[in-house]
Order: sequence, then structure tokens, then C-alpha cells
Amino acid sequence: MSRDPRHDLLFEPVTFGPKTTRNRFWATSHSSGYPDRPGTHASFRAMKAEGGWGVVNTGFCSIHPESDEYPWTSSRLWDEGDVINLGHLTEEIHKHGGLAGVQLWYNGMHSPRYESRESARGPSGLPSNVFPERNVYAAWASEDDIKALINMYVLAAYRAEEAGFDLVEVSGGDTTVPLQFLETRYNKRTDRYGGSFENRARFYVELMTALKKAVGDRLAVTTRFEVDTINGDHRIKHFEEGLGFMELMNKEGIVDLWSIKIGDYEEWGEDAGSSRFRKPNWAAPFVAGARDLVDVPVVSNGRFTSPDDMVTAIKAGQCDLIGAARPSIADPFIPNKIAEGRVDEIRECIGCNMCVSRMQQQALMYCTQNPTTGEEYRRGWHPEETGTSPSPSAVLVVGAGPAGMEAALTLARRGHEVHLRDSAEALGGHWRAVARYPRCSEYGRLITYREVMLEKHKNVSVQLGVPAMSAQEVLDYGAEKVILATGSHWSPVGLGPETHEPLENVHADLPNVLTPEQVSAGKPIPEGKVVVLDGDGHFTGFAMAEIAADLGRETTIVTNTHDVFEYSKFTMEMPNNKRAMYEKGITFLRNHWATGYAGNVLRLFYLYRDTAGLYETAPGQWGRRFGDDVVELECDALILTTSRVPDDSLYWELIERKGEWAEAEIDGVYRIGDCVQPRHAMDAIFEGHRVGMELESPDPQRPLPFIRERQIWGAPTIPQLGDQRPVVEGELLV
Amino acid sequence: MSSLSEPLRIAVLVKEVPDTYGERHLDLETGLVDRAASDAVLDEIGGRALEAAVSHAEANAGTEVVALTVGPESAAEALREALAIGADRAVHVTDPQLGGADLGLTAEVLAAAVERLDADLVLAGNQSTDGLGGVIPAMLAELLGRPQATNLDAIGIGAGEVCGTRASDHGTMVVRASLPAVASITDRLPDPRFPSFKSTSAAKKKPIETLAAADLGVAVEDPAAPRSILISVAARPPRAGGMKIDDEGDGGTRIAEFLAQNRLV
Amino acid sequence: MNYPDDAVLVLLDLTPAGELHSGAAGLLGAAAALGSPVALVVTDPASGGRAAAADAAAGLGAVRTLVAESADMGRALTVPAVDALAAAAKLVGPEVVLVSHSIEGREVAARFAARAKAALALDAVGVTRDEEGVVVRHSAFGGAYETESAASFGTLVATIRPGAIEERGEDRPAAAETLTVEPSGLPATTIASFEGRAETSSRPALREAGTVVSFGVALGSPDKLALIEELADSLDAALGASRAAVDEGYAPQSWQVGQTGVSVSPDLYLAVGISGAIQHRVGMQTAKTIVAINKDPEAPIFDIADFGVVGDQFAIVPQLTEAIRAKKA
Repeated sequence: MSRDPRHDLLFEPVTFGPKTTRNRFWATSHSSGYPDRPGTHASFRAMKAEGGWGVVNTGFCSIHPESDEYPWTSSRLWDEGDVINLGHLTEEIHKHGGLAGVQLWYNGMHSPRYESRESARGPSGLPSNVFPERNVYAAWASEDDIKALINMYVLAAYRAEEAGFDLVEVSGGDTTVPLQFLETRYNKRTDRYGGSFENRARFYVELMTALKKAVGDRLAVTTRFEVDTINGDHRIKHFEEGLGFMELMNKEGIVDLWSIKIGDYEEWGEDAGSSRFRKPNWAAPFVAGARDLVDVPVVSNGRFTSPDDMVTAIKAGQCDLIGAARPSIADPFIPNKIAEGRVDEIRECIGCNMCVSRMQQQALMYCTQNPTTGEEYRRGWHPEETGTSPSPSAVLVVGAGPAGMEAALTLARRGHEVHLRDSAEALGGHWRAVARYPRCSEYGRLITYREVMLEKHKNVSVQLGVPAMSAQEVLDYGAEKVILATGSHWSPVGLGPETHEPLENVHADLPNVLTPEQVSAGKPIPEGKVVVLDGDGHFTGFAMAEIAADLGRETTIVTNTHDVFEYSKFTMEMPNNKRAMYEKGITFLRNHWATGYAGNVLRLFYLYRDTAGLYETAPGQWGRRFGDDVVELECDALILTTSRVPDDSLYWELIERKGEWAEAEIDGVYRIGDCVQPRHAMDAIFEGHRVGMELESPDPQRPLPFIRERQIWGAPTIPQLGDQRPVVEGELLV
Repeated sequence: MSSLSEPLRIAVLVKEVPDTYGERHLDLETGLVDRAASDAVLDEIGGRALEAAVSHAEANAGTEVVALTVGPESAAEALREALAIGADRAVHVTDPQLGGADLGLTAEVLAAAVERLDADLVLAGNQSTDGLGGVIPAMLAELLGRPQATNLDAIGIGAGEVCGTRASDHGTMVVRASLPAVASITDRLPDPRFPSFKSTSAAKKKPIETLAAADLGVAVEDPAAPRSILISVAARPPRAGGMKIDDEGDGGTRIAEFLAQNRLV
Repeated sequence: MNYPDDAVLVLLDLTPAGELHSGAAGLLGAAAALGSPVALVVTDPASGGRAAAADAAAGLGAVRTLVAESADMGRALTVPAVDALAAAAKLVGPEVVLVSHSIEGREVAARFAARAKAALALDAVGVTRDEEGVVVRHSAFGGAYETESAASFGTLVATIRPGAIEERGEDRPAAAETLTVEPSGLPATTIASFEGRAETSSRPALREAGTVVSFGVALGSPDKLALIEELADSLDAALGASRAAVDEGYAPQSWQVGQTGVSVSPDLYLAVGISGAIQHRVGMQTAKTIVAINKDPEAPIFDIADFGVVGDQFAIVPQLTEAIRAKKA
């Protein structure tokens, strides 16, 4: 198959500064949580180069311990050790013909500095609005401090050059210090670095000038800039200082390329816009006209997955290169697939922001669509190649939800003979209903990809609309290995994480009690007041509330957690969730749970109704004095998103009949996904992939060991106690 | 002819065809279906006919279902699929001389094979996805001197007859034919069951009898027999953009004119 | 009676009411282009209308019309018509026999060809003559290929795709005659009952529709669907939609055309406000004729449209619907 000529322009080289990239695909800088694991980090980034991205950037890279991002794991360019680790990364990227970029980052007031414990500097001495709960401040920077800050960047750029990077990208987004100087929200100065627009831009100009002078003839010096911070009324507005700044900088001739975005550190969710709130290329109106203001290439990102949309954006003059962070995670091989005319095989980003959510929990990033993310090094996985099984088997996979589809596809790729069966008429399991929740239609792309790919593998037979299998039918089927992916269902009795008990008088058989499955199937939601009792904390409760509110019901969410839909804090959707709820009049009650529901009265209790103090409540027995206050909420209908229950009866029946497996010639019965324990689709797909990759191992139910990157006692570290720290103050090295 | 009070022998006609959802090509030299260009699969409609026969067999002990095809060597795969769905045995008429056979010759060969099988009922799909002819069952009825109960949306087999509802041009008919008969079904009938691993394994052991045209007493190169011959094949040129205009207040009218000129309205 | 040397025997279907079926004009037109059309109608004596049918046939080009009556027509399937056709062919000795590729017609044609051992060509989209004889044109694999066939020798029996023939015969004076048919005695299927098709006003199913009108997410709101529906109704078309439109809830999943939706190959595909991204294109690009309306002149759909208009669908579509209605009136 060959490339569609319409997509030819995506493969034109672009020159910026002293560098030329092979095509218009720019893997935008994004954090990963991997930098402390140099093997993992390098292999992850290099996979994008292998997949065809012309430029591959790291995530945020702290230039000095003063801007230590811990507990987040950022890249670092503090010392020689970092140079070695990042040197491995650039080597891997270069092996595959990509250019390597590093994002130089100093965030001052917003850096928690939980490892270095240093003080940071900034335009004004103020507390961080991004982390008000952490009490992080910055110290006001004198002119000497400003010189020192710029010096930090320059030293970091020298280290970057040593590490083999082709470009340094100054972070002027995410409210890093260059942007802090620019924004009046942070810059209260009255000297030449504050006040007028030109004064506030001065730091950024001097910084870029210094970098250009230091490394600019060997490395490209670029910047990531948010043309609109979308944060309150005192924000940087694209139609004023945002584009105005680009114009100003262009006159200075010190930027080789602009990678532009919207949303600042607090409203990072506007840059990583989730599909529940933002359609692909939602930033277009904000960045329109930017390219016309500058003489150098412009990169724009916006969850681009379709090559036709990419071509349109370039032809419309929005940008010169297509930036992509999340789409490059979901499918590092987008450029190659377009080049080879295999556009139908692109694994589209579904915009679920699970990747972001793991980052926001200071953990390791994974991806719903691409289970090999983060596993390239530690498990040796590859998104496009699975290798072939040395001993292919006839495998029956029961259940075609996310886990089952992924297992079937992986097994098929490895050469097994697979039968994938589901009683529904279409693939996807319960995810099909999820994709029809309001705002969630792009979630269906995880089914689309697997549907397309399963169709291409002749060694997998997809059998839909077949009756649910009994244990006897499984035994009679003739499979050598059986994988159960039978999923889970929402608790019809309101079993939740707070009490682990069902609610009194509650069952979804009643007309005024509903589960999400019933809502999707069209069970009527009684008129009047509706309560969504949510123990899940993610998007399902929100979807149920929105469905009810759109039908005109007076809707309230009751949750045991501290905030409503607490997981959305991690997916960066919480602010917009709350705004949408506010717009629709959906109210919420936190830190409460239910005990029962009868006569249209929901009985709740406040989680903290007991005493703060601890008392001897009976001779020799200590504890709190328990409160018994009850909150009664009138409601005409109760929708339960309290917890999920595995559908595992088939598995346990087969286990009981293990004695019959040998005669049935079944080598093993395994289970994956929700039917083991309910979890995010991302983890269900991971498990399906893993079992597919490891089916030949002695016990595929248990994962094989992976490489754990960590310090082993006795090996040398960099630095040692007593080492000199790099000099930053005083001398301006440029 | 087997006695009608005994269990039936049903011959099900199946075909190997290019995958409808894959790329389908004609060889521009020979005009024949380019079988290398795409995966060959058991014709969907033949699968439905098999399912009807196999379901009947499951409910009526002693019924024999024989899958029958005329096709190249590779058609044996379609027969294995038919056996996996539940046919008891298969007959494969394959002969290089039959490549490119027209409808008349194909019908002749099939009729001879059916005679040899001594089948009570011939069951087929109403039209195949690669030829869309839809007439072989009728031609077999003529050659075998049997009634045709064709194009049935629903079928019933039993008590010496086959009956069903026939979708016709102007409406629906309820029809009945005494056995031995030829019947064909439409895609309103249920999909064939999916073979399990066990049935696929079992299929490998079921017998497939291979026959050539001569075994059936059919003279392929009969100079006295007129044939329909293919005299040219041409691929449609790849799609390119045609006329494109800006709407100047008349866009809708212009489209209507285009449609009228092309007899689309 | 002698029949013209260039007689083309044409079997005409009748409706249950005894009128000529709408395909008759095309069949007689094709026959007229090849030679002298001699029509055959086979009726059940009870249904009457033989004179009207014969007149109508003459009006469409038949130089003679043979009328066969068979009491079995409504009771026995296919065989009576085959017997009549065989009798007519024996009488007329035509070079070509043309029959509609309707469900009934094609089976009559095929059985006759088997009985007479004549060459059979099916589902023709055109018939012409070259220096060697009659040539039949076919369209295969959804229009991807065009082939031509001919009889090696002898009478050619050909079925014609309804609606494919544009030629029309000249109005002739009516010349009906009775045809005596000797029943073959071959066993026939019994027709136990017949129910005429109710006039349904429902739209055709997407997959088989001859015309599809498809819309995209630029529709903007479900309220605007009425505009598209009216256009579809004016063309007796099925409705289709892009994935984005389905995602927005403007259309059910069953209307989705494309890679993960339905693949269609209609005679006419009207893409309204659809950009034509590749995932959509693969589901419709084998349509015979594609017309596109889009306000983006760079939309990929224009690369495969036979006729495209760059403009606002909300202005163009109502005008188009009006114009179509006017033409059909």
C-alpha cells in the first residue's frame, strides 16, 4: 500500500535554526513519569522516532535543583549523571533518524521542591496559586538573581548539547518563569522587568538571546509558548499580549521555532483537553493568525489523529508542523502508517487523559489505547510487533470487551488460532454503552481500532451474537487454552467502598433504582429529584447525572470522597466538570454515604459525625464517640454508581471442574480484566495484552518479571557528598 | 431416488467467492475472478443454506447433508468450512477445463452431480456475492425435471415436501413443492453457526470426494453446445474529481441539472 | 404468419393488475435498437387486461405482441411462463430473447436457456451489435469492472438490469395475436397464496439503496435533519451519516457510512457537508456517481466527486430539493 498523495505535504522537511527535520511530525514535549528510569524513558521516546516522528521531545526538564519538580518526576539537567542518562535517550532517538529536543524548565514558585528543599526565585515574592495547599512560594529576584536564572538556562543548554540534543525548547508555557515575568498576575515589579508589556517581556527576550548566543549555531533554540492562559480575566489573552508577544519576539529574531498552546499550569487541562470537553484542534481559533506573525516555523497541537485534519490545518495556515503529545503516545507509528497508506490502522487517542491522570498522581504514565506504553524497555514490548509464538495454540476468548479484544488481537498477531465470542451483536462489551454516554463518543475509538485490526487477521474468528457460554460448552469447545474476559456489572444493591455493605431496601429491580446498564438500556428515570450515589469517582457518575439533568430532573450527586468525581482531578477535568455541573444546576454533597432508601427518602450519614477526640467509651475500651446523625434526602430516583462486581461465575464453575480439563484437552483456563477485579479500561487492555504476550509462560495468569530500574546498593552515584556544585551566580557566561 | 419415507439426503450448493469486504478483482487477461487478489471465503448465502440443512438434520435423525461445489482446487477450503458448519460429507467437482464455464455448463455439471448424489432436496442460496446471477437453482430444476421453490425468505422441510414464503417482484407468495425438489433461500435466513474448534477438527476427518467433469459424463468441449463467452474486460478508471463550482445562489439548481443530465432524476 | 428476420423476442412482466411492468420500456427500447421487437405477455385468463397490455407494448415499440393465456400462471411457479416463452421462440425464431432481470424474469429466462440449450447472459446494462453479432455489457463488483459477453452461436438469451436501458422504441400500431402453448408437463411448485406488496413509504435500507444522501457533523443540530430528510425523500434515497455526525448524536450508528460503519455502492451518493476523510471514503467511493456539497473548497470529498458545489449546505440543499421535485413533476 502506498501513501495517499494528499498526505505528501506531511513528509516535507522543515528547517529551523541550524536543524532540518525530515517531516512535519513533531512529538510535542510531555511528561511521562519515567525520567528516573533512564532505560524506560529512552525506549519510550525512541519508539516515537522509530514510528516516524521527525522531532521527539522530552517532557519538562528541570534546569536546576531550585526548580525541583519532585514529587513529580521530571527530566533533569543538573549534573553529569543527568547528561549520561539523557545521552542514552538522544542516542536511541538518533538511531531511528529523529531529532531530539529537551524542554528547559524553571517553574520557580510552582515547583514543590520536595527533594532538593531549595528556595526558588521569581518576578515577585508570592505564594503559588497552582498549589495553594502546599504553601510554596518564590523569592523576589533581584537583577543579579535574574542574571543567575538566565545562567542556569545557559548551563543547562550546554549540558543538553553534551547529551546530544539537537534543540533546546524553552518552556514559556505552564506558567514557568519566563511566562511569570510576562503575566501581571505574577509580575508586580516596578523596575525595568515589570510594568509595561515590553518590560515584562524583557526577561524572556534576554533569556532567548543568551541561549541563542551560547548554543544557537549548533542547536536550534525554540520555545513552547501559551498564547492564551485561559485562566481568569487577568490572563494572557491571545488577541492581546499572547500574539503580541510573538510579534515582539519575532522582531528580535531569537526564536528558531514556536510550539504554541493554550492553557497555563493551573488550566493545563486546556492544553491536554480531554475528549469529554474538547474536540480535536479545539485551540485553532486561539492560535489563528499566530503563524502569520512570525518568520519561523510554528507547531500547533490539538489531539490530531487524522492525516486529513493535519493536512487541512497546514493548508489553512494554522501551523507548519503538527504537534502531538497524546496521539503520539496512543500510536507512536502514526507517521509511518500515513506514509505507508495504512491510515485505517492508526490507533486514535481517545482523549481519556488516563496518561495525564497517572502523571498527576506522580506515578508512571500508561495509555488506554496503547498497552505497550512504558513497557518498551522493562518488558521489551513494541506497539506494532508482538513476535510469534513458538507454540501456537487454539485459544477460546470468552467476552469481547476491552480486555477480550486486546487478548484476541495480541494472540492473533502471535500466530495463535483464536475464537473470540460475545453474546452481544457488536464488539466492545460494556464499553459500547460507555461510548454512548454524553461527551464520551471518542472513547469508542478503542473498539474501532480493535475491530479494524481483528478483521485483518484471518486466524481470529470473531463470533458475535452467540448465546452466553456455559461451563459445559466451554469444555466441549475443543480449545487448548481458554481465556475468560467476562467483565463486570454495576452493583444493583449499592455496594460501595465506604461501608462495603449493600444499601437497605435497595435493588435495581425497583422502578426508582437504576444502574448505568439500565439507564443505557432505556429504563425510565422517574420524574422529580434524582440522586446519583457515586463511589466510583470517575466519569460514569457524571454521565448519569448529566443524562438525568438533560431530561429535566433535579439532580444531586452524593459521594463519600472529599471532592466530587475525585479522579477527574487527575485527568484535569475537574474544573470543567464543575463548570458543566454549575451550568446545568447539578448539585453535589461530599463526604456522605447512604444506608438505605425507602419511601422516596435516601438516608445518609456524614462521614465525620463522630467525635474528633478519643475517649474511654467504656471501661478499658477507647475510641471515638460515634455520632448517629442522619441526613435525609428526598429523591424520586436513585442511580447507583457505587462500585462494580465481577462477572466471574463461569470462571469458578470451570475451576470446580478442573478435573475434566485434561479429558477436554484444555491446558489452562485464565481470566483477565474486570471479571478478575474491576479496573480502568486501560488496565484491562493491559492485562489482555500481557496474557496474549505471555501465554506460553508456565503460568500466564501471573506476570513474568520485568526490569526494575533502581539503585542497587554498592554501585556509584552521581554526585557524591563533597562534590562541587555548578556555579550559577555572579558570572554571566554569555 | 431414495424413498420419501426415509430420512432425506440434502445436497447444499456452496461456492468459494472473494471476500466481499476485501478487494475484489477481475484478471484483465482472462476475465476470471482474480483469486489471488483477496481471501476466498465460503459464500455467505451458501452458509445460510447449510445452516438451514444442518438445523433440519439436527431435528431429524438420519438426515444426510452433503456439501457440493464446482470450483478450482482452492474451493476445498470452502468445503472444509461447510463440513465444520455441520455437513456430513462433501463433493468437489474440479476440473481445469471448467475454468470460466458459463451458466449453462455450470448448471449441466451441477445437475449431473446432483443426479449422481441421488439427493432428495437441493438447497442453495438465491444469489452469490460474486456473480449475482441468481439463476442456477432454476436451471437445475429445469435440467433435473424437479419443481423449484426459489428465493425463499422462510423455509420448511418435511413430509415429502418443501415449502416457504417466496419474495417475488410484486409481493410475497406462499409456495409448496413435492420432493424431490430444488430450493433456494435468501439472506433473511439465519446466519450459519460459528464452528467451534471441535467441529473444525472433526471436519478435517470428514470425506471429500473429488470429481472431474468426465466423471460426471459431461462433455466440456462440446462443439454443438452454444456457450456464453466473455469477449472483453475493462477496469473502471480510478476515481478522479470532476466538476467543481462555487455556489452563486444557484448551486442547488446546478446539481439538479447535473442529476437530470445523468438520468439520476 | 411470418415474423421479421431481425425479430427480437421480449418477455414482458405484468403486474398483478395485468399492466406492463415499468421495466417494459427499457426492454422494448433495447430490442428496438437491435431489431424488430416481438413482445410476449403471459396472462392468467382470470386477470384480464390482455388488450391493454398489448396496446401498451405496441406503444413502446413492439411490432407484434403475442399473448399467451395459461390458467396455471397464478397457481404454478415459473413453468407456465417458460412453456410460453419456449412456444414463442419456436414460432418466432429470434436471434435474441430479452427478459427483465427481475426475480421472476431471470428464472424464466434461465430455465428457457437450459431447456433450449441457448447461451445465457445475465443482468445486462446494455446490448449492442458488433460485426459478429449481439454483444451484452455487464457491470461487475459494484461497478469496478465492465465486461462484454456474446453467444458463441445460436440464440442469445439475455436478462436486462431494470432501469439500465435508456433507449426507447417508437410508437407502433397495436398488433396482438394469441399464442397457443403446449404445456411441458414438468413438475412445478404450487403457489398456495399471494399477497401484493403494500405501498410502503419507508425509506430504502442503506446497504442496498440505489441513492444515498449522507450528512456530516456540520449539520449543527438535530433540528436541521428535516432539510436532509426532505432531500432524501425527493430522491427516494436512504440516509447515511459520517462518524462525527453519529458521535454528536445526529444519526444512529446504523446510518454510519465508512470503515466501521456500512459500505455502500449506490448509483448516486450525495455527500452533504461531509469532508470526505479517508475513513468515510472507503465506505462509499465505489458509488457510481458522487455529488458533494461542502463549504471548504479543500475538502477531500471533492477529489472523488463527479460534481461538487462549494457553498453553504443550508442554502443549497433546499434549492436542490425544490429543483428535483420540479423535475419529477
